[in-house]
Amino acid sequence: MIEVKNLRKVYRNIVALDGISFRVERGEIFAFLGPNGAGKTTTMNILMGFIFPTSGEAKIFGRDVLRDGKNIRKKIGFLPEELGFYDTLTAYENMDFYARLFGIPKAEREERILNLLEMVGLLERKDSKVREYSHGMKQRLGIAQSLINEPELLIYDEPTSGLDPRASYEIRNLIKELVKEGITLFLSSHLLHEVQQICNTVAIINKGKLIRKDKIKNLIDEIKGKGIQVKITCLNINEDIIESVKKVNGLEDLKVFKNILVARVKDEKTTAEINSAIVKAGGKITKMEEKTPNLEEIFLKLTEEK
Amino acid sequence: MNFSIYSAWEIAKKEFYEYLKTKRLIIIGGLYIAGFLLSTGILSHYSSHSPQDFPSIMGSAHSIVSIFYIILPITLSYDLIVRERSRKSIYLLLSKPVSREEIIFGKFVGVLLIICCIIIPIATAGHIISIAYCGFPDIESVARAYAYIGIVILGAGCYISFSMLFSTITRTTATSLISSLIIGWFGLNMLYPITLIINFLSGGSSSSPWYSKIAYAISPSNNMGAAQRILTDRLMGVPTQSLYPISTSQSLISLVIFLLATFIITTFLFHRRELN
Repeated sequence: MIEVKNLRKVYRNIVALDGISFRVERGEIFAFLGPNGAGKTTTMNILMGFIFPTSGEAKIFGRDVLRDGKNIRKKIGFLPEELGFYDTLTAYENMDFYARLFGIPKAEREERILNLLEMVGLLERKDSKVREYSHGMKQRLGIAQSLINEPELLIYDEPTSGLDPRASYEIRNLIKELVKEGITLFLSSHLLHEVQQICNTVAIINKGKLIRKDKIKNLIDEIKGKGIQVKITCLNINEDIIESVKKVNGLEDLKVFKNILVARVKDEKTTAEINSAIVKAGGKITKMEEKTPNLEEIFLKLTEEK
Repeated sequence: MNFSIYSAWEIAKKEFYEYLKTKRLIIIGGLYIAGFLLSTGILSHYSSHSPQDFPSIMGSAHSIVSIFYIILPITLSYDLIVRERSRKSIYLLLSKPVSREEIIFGKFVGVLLIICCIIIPIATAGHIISIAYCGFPDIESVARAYAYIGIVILGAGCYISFSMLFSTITRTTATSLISSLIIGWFGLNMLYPITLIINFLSGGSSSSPWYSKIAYAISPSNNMGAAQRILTDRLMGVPTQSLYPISTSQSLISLVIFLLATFIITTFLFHRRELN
């Protein structure tokens, strides 16, 4: 659905994008992950035709975004990072205007707008001017307007940006409901937990370069394959306890910090054996934490190396 | 270029309804309406109450409120593009299947419609006031009066297009407004006097040289003033040619050229402008 080849964007002497290439297939829930300033919004802006690439190409539905942008946008729903409505108009009037631009007939338009506003929980406030809306309400309205044309592809740029935890939670749930219906979603975020909850494929970008693209499951399995990290707080650590832990089969690495043992183990079974070894050696365990691999670890590792 | 008149019309309608609720339209439009109707009323009251007075009453009333034919279009259009950018609504608008050309055209038409909805009815009301005092003029006088309204609307279109140009190239609404007012109103009107001074200092002839005529014709307000002869020529009985360096037809052509040139430049610049 989205195909980007050697996309490059240079602002004077600043390389915002440095020849990135990726594809988003139909049905994927694709995350574009990176820190602030990595090039995520630049990529999205090029896809939407707001800015123009220095070199390279970008296609959506097999069509060039620069030459055929208008036709492409008939089948896209977009949620920008910086969301702005016509504040003096009501939510309904804003939605109606956008629906008219898609050429949706009147009766169908009314039904769709009401259904969408109900879906995002704004039906009761449909006749309020948008300037009276909170940031979270505007974001929900943003999601509603992105669906007015029943798009094949959704492009969301930092959908929970600037929202409080409750509002972020509501937006994430809305998005999860949408993706259940099989829509293709291309989402950019710097929030790892959000991406891990919603998406199945991720491309990690940093300083304008695409570092890695893969299924999230593959990335997590890769880290899992490198073992589990266990942190054990033990009141009376001594040499005997440390030696008994070192003898446990499946221990890959062990670090000792005062009364804390940090072990990298092969699997959960090894964790249980370490626990037994400490107790047998007379150790008093007060706390044991297992750190499951997640996207944050992968992200930090990959962006650190680059 | 993939241009849809439907999309442009939807944008025009949205601009029209959005502007109807704005304070600036109510204030400036209200002042114009009050000024024109009051002028017409007073002039009609103190006229000789003859149908022959109709063209001069209309001409004088338009002259009194002529400043609004500059201020009204500028204040309604200086932020057409820059405001979309500042409030970030441009991203949602351009994410829809509309082209940048349709946006420019639609916004232009929307504001022009507002101006037509103000000027035409109010001018008609002024005509009625004049008729009430002075009696019915001949059809030709009425036709000339409406022809002049058409010229005023054309002139307003020029200022809309000119302001949209600044709205496209500037980054803030304040800069756009100041640039439109200073250059559009003061700057363009100063060109002609400057050329006259140059002509005088260089010991040129007393009539306007060719470059003065061009300088005169660049300003839409000058052209609207020159075209006012369409109302008053016949009445005054004295050729008014000498008051203006260009003829009525030349002023009309100048207005059309100004409108097309600024519109094309605005469209071209907006088409090329990166929005980030």
